[in-house]
This record gives sequence, structure tokens and C-alpha cells, in this order.
Amino acid sequence: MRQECRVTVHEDNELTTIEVMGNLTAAAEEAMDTAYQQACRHNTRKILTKFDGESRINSAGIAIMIDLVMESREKRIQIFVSGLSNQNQKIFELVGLTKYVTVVTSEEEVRGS
Amino acid sequence: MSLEAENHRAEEFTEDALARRVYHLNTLYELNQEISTLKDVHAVLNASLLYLTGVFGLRRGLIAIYKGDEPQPHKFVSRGMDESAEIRWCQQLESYLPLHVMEEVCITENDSDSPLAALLKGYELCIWLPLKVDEQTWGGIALGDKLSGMEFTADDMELLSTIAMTLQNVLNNVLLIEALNESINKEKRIRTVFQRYAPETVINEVLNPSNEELLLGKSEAVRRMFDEIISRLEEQHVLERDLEDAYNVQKYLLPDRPPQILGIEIAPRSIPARYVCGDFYDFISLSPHEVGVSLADISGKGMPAAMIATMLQTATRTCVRSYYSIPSILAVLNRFMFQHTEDHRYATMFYGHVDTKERTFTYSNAGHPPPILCRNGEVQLLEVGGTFIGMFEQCSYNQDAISLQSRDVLVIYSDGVTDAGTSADTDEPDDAFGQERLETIIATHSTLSADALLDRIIAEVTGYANRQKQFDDITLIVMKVE
Repeated sequence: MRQECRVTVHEDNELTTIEVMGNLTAAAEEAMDTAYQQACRHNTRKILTKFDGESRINSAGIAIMIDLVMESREKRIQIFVSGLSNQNQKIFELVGLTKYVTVVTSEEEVRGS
Repeated sequence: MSLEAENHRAEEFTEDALARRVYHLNTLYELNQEISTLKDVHAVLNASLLYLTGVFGLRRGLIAIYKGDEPQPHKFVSRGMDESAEIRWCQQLESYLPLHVMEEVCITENDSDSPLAALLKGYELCIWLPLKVDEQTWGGIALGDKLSGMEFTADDMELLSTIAMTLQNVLNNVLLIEALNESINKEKRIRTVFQRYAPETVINEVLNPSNEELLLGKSEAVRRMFDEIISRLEEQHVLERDLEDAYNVQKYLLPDRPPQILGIEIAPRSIPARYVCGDFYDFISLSPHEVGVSLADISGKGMPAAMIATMLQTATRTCVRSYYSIPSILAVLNRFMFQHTEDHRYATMFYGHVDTKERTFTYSNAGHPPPILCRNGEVQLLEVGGTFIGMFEQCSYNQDAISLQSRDVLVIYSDGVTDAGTSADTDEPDDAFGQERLETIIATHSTLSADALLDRIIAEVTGYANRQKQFDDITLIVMKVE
């Protein structure tokens, strides 16, 4: 049930993707922060945070996402999120994150937006 | 019960409400697990604020801890605030010490009179919850508004208070450990451990200063061996201390005496098979004439079952205080437990709500041995409910309500009572004390007081099982309507 979180960044001209494999919890805070700073290096305007569909995001993980979203608002970076399980999507709605991120079903949807 | 509470109870139990409730319980559980392992005050505060930010979806927040009359925080953590705001906060709070900071503030549109409320507003913070860690240490949690734009609800404040209590307990321990570490050096600790565990002859030999010097100084191999022994003894000491801690936590969580509810006598008892117990019972007073009664039995025994029992007991208290219906409470607990037990553990659980004013007992039975209601010598089993909790992600439960009559006797028990007499190896049901025998005792002695009947049942069960070592936890609640 508990998986170690692995965070990687993929960049191309149009989109930067932060890929999150495993559970997003307090243990992933440093990795997420490093990945986000890396993602912001090249004047990025869109970041897709891509979960693997199985990841569990707990309260600490939500707080990490809030940091990311708030910093992106200041930098005028648009945040997209994909791969949320139904449960995680419900939590995003409950805490108000869906007001600040666009939930998408695929990377293509972001590229087309 | 207030109108607000009535409305809350009547709230339609939607999937959203279930998800929110489970999310809150998960937060409490995981936060507790995380900060209980931390040894540093700053790390505890950081983790707590991280979870608070996530559970409420906050823009900003801070936790400040003060020592005595020192105006500057002993420890301070914040999220979503810039550095200058932190510095200004630390300076400005000084003006409000010590008169105002122990008040709880929740700013609404109509509430900005207090100086502390004005201070909070200046930092776009809207909640201040004071913390009292020990005689010397105090502080508070200040939270900003939510991303959702929603106000803090009564549920939120209940959760916040529970988190604050958890934080206070953990801080208390961490500060104590810090103080101990400062005052006791390693050498003294090793000697203490060694004196506790090593045979007396060895102690006399080794702790003789000249011998110790000889042993440690002359041979590197002996020195290594000595270090290894000390290290193992220390590990054992830590394990035993953990077990003692677990026992104390359980003891602390179990009600030290039954609640005083008008019109009903209540007598509980729990006898663990090992050091700690995988059963728990609890009473949650809801008014002078209403009480929630729970009894659960976690699959397995020993420390793993005890840890789950503690978790489930805390979760139950939180759910019950939120005024959901009984089937909803069990549905939430079921999902919560399903998510937090990785090795397919489950629990049988009985939850009932006594109202002596209305003279009703409303209950739901989640796969638990059916409690026995004895009325005028006749026995009735309380079986309505559903399956075990924690085994399947989605479960629904039914409830039943019975009218209480004078001299009714209700006995809620774990299967350690009816299985007494069997052994862990054979588990032959033919040897067990059995439900029938229990029913007979209750019917025969139903005129006794709740306390006396409880003693009688325990005496019969332990007398019966005398030939066998107790291998399961035994827990009983006897209630008698006056």
C-alpha cells in the first residue's frame, strides 16, 4: 500500500511535466521542491503534475501541492494535474485545490489548451 | 442536544461527507504516527503545520511556542508567510503577552474586537488556538483562510482541537526527552541499563572501577564484546519502554471510570491476554442522559492489534462527536480501517447510543458477538448491523432501536469471554465457555447490580478457564437500567 515516492521532471519546448510515482506524503517534500525548482528554470508557462493513478496523496502531500500552486500563481505558471484517482480528485475538490489547478485526463489535453 | 447538532446529525450522508470524514481521520492518524517518532521540537511543529495546511487547504499558518515569560518564540514555524511577516509577527505578539494569547479566537465578520483578532487579521490569519504544553511552555496555532473560500466549520474546529491535543502531548514528551538528554550523559545511561539487566555477579565484577578499567583497557576484543552487550541491552531497554508506553497509552485512553448517566448503571472491564490489548471499550458522553458505548475486538493479538485498537478508538470518538448516524459512523470507520491496515486486519465492533430520557438504546453490530439483553429473565440478542469493519472498502450497516425498561440488563462482550477455556493451539469450540453459559449466568443473576454482575461473570469465566492460560483479550460492559 505504501510506496516510496519518485519524482522526475521531463521538459520540452511546450510543456514541463513533473511525474510523481508512488505516494505523495511528507517524505516527498524535498523531492517535489527540487523538481519544481527544476521545472521553473526555463521560463515555463505550463506545468503538468502527472500522478500514476495509484498514488495516495495524504494531507502533507496536499500541503506540498498547495505550496506548488501558490508559488506558481505568483510566477504566473499554469498548473495542470493528471492521473488523480477518484479519491484524490475528491480531496482536491474538498480543500479547494481544483479552483487553482486544471484537472486533465491526458498530456495531449494540456498541449492542446 | 442543540438545534445545530440535530441538524448536523440529520445531514444527508453523502459520498462527499464520507470522503471528508475519512480524510480527516486519515490526517489525525498519520499525523500522530509521524510526529510521535520525531525527537526534535522544530520537526514536530513543521510536520504538524504541514498536515494542518493540507487537511484544511490553507493559504498560510504558523505555530509558535514560547517558554515562560520570554517574549520571543522558543520555536516558530510558518507556511505561506514571507520572512518579514514572520519577524513582525514575533515582535508584535509581544505586545499582547501574556493577557490575550490564551484565548481561542475564530474571526468571523462580526468578531474583530479583541486585540489578538486585530493582530491576526493584519496577517490574514483567522484562527488562533492556544497550546499549553507544560507549566513553562505555551504557544498557539494560527491559521489563515482556506483556498476553498469556505469558513471553518464546527467539525473543523473539533478536528483542530484534537490535533492541538495530540501536538501538546507529543511536545510534552519531546521536551522531556530533550531535558533528560541534557542532564544524563551516555555513560550514566549505559550503567543504568547494565545494572538493570546484567546478573548481579557480573555487575559487581564489571562495575568495580578497577575491573572495568582492566577489561576495557587491556583488550580490544573484550571492549567490542562489552559494547555489543551494552548495545543489545539498550535495545531491549528501548523495546520494553515502548511496550510500557503502549500499555500506558491504552490505559490512558480507556475510561478510568464509567460515565455517570442518569438512570443507568454501567460497569466495564478489560483483561488483556498479553501486555497490551486488542480489544477496547469506550464511553462518549453526549449529554447528562445520553452516552455512546463502543466495544471492539481487533483481529490478532499483542502490539499490532493494540495499535489498531488505539487508532480505532480515537477515530470512533472523533466520528461520534460529529453527530453522524450510527450506520454512518461504522461506514466511515470501516473505510478508515480498510485504508490503514495493510495485512488484512479487521475488527468486530458494536456501537450503541443510550438515551435514558427517551429510554431507548439504538445500536449497530459490525460482526461482533451479539450483546445479550436480559429482560424479566428472557434473553434477546442484538444482532442488527453488518459485517466486520476494515475487510472491504465499501460496507453499509443497519441500526435497530430498542425501548429500555426498568431492570433491563445489557451485556456487551468480546469473544475472549465465550472462547475462554479453549487454548490457542486447539481452539476447540466444545471446550469453550460459550454463549449459552453466559446467557444462563446473566439470566440467573440479573437482579444483581451492574458491578456485582460483572464480577460474577468474570469469576465464572476465569474459574471455568482456570485450566487454560488466557489466550484472548477479555472485555465486558454490563449495563443495568434503574
